[in-house]
Amino acid sequence: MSIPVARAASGVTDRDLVLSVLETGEEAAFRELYRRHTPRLFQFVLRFIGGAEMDAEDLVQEVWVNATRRLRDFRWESRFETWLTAIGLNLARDHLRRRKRRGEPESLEGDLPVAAAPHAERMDLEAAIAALPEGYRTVLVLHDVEGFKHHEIAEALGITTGTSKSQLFGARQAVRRLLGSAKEGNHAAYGQ
Amino acid sequence: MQPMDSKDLAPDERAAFDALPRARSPSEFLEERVVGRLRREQLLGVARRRSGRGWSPSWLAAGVAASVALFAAGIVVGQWLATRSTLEAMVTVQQHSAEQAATLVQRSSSAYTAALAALARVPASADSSEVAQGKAAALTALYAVAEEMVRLAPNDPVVVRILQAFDQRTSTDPGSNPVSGGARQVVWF
Repeated sequence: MSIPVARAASGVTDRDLVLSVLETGEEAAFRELYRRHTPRLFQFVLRFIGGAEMDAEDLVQEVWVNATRRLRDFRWESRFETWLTAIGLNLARDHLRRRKRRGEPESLEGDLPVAAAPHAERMDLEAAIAALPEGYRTVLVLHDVEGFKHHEIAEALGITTGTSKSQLFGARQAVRRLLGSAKEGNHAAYGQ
Repeated sequence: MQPMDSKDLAPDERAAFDALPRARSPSEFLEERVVGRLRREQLLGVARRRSGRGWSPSWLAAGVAASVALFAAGIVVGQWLATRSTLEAMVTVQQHSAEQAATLVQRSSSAYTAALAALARVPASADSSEVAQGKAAALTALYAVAEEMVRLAPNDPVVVRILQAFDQRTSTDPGSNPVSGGARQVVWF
């Protein structure tokens, strides 16, 4: 899992900042934490829910509110960023469940930001990930994009490592099929 | 991207995943939204009034260390003062106890004498049993005082004679011994 070093140029660690927030409610310390971790968190949530930016922003806000409420309970047994991602994962899953109950489409491929993906293949891959069923997408994003191990995924999702592995296998096969269809479609289009 | 039959990613597949962006900035307003929400929920304090940054961990550590040092110094100084005070107090009490004892003897002697004088002024018509009780108490006290005096001044002839008089009276009239159990048991209340 490639995690950016949670330390600013000033040498202040995440833990220092969290302590400042806990002890004094210091806004500057919180803003530093926010700026360090939000871009990655936002990208994760955005990809996870299928590309709806407004929803992703609302979720990121909820992640920070939840995390700040529970800061005192964080035991530093994992990286702060991993903890934030886990909170984001749970909130994003709840969001998808609510969306499903409302009968909305599971993924919103049309919301994917085209400008952010200059290469056609990357765009295809983003679109393919967004088009996956939730179970597949969850495991694929966590494993192949975020770099989680199967036992971490199993713990985060409350599933077995075997289930995580089988979901990943299915997800990769589905992405390959989707990408193959896209390429065929592109070739057909180019052939016209 | 090459299709793979294996469950592992092919190198170009891995490269495609690695090329996916890992970070993306949300709108610039989101930070203010989040901070505002946290302020409203009182999870963040208002901006600090003092200039500069808040308490850094190093400042906190230094503050804690200074507090501990001050506390320890307070204990040492307090113990020294307490020891000195105790010594001074003991000396003072010992000095005062002799004075206080002498004063107490003077005051109680005056009270004893005054009480006996009052008893002597009681009219003859008064209750004889109560007068007899007062007389017995006075004799018991006199005997007890003589017992204590002989400890204080064993060779004092007056005290010796008083005790001899009590002993002579007891030998002729055993029932007249004012205190058969010892002077220190003279307590009426």
